Amino acid sequence: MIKYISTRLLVSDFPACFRFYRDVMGFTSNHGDENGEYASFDTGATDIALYRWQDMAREIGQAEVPSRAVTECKALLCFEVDDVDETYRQLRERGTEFAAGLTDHPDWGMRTAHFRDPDGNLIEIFHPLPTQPE
Amino acid sequence: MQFISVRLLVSDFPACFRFYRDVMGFKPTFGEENDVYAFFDTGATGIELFVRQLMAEAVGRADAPARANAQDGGMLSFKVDNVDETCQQLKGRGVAFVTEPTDRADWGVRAAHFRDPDGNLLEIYHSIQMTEDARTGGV
Repeated sequence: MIKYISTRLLVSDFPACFRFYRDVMGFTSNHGDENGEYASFDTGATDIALYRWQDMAREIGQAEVPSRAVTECKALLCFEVDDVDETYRQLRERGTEFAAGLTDHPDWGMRTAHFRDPDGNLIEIFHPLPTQPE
Repeated sequence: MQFISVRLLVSDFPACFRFYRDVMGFKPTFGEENDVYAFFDTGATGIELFVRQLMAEAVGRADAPARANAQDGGMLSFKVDNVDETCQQLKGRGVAFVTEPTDRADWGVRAAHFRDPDGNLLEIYHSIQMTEDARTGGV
């Protein structure tokens, strides 16, 4: 049995990311604090964990590889909300800039918006669109 | 705010689809090998696959390079009963490991690391006794 426990974001600015997941996203930290090197947040499902990426790179023998490059994103974190327009407004009030604004995606069945955490990780919020008749 | 899924934006969709179904053993509840999107039920937060180029277009990053040689920006972590046993099983399914099962007393885990066909970093672990100074937050 392989049980999915957490998504660990390997971040360069740990304190900024810690504050973002606590204060902007509103999750409760169940391990670590702003000045640590590891933290995890209870989301009600799997945890979101933060870890300093140079430490992880060293652990897996990648310390010599460049830390960052400009590429398309390799992954995103996806959150369902009751009303994406309302959450979009709240996040903007907390200073969040959006990579893609409120958009209906009838082919995905979702209304979405996209933004990034302080380390550039892509985050999607959505609510389902009403089902279209065939 | 409900954490629904981690969406892996992949370049080789069919290989990743087979990997999460056949190697990791998760059940696809949406999509199949020749689609552009799939959802795997893990019992908690889902794991999704989506063709990377399509997501890049949706967020206006289509002109960024698809990949580069860089350190990992994220990792999915999975708990197992016995990391050595699961490691052997995964090797039997053709997985090459980045790190062999190793005690990390400062993390409180015995862990091993490997990659999916798109290069995403994955960890399997079981819990072990944490060192005293790690438990109390010391260095």
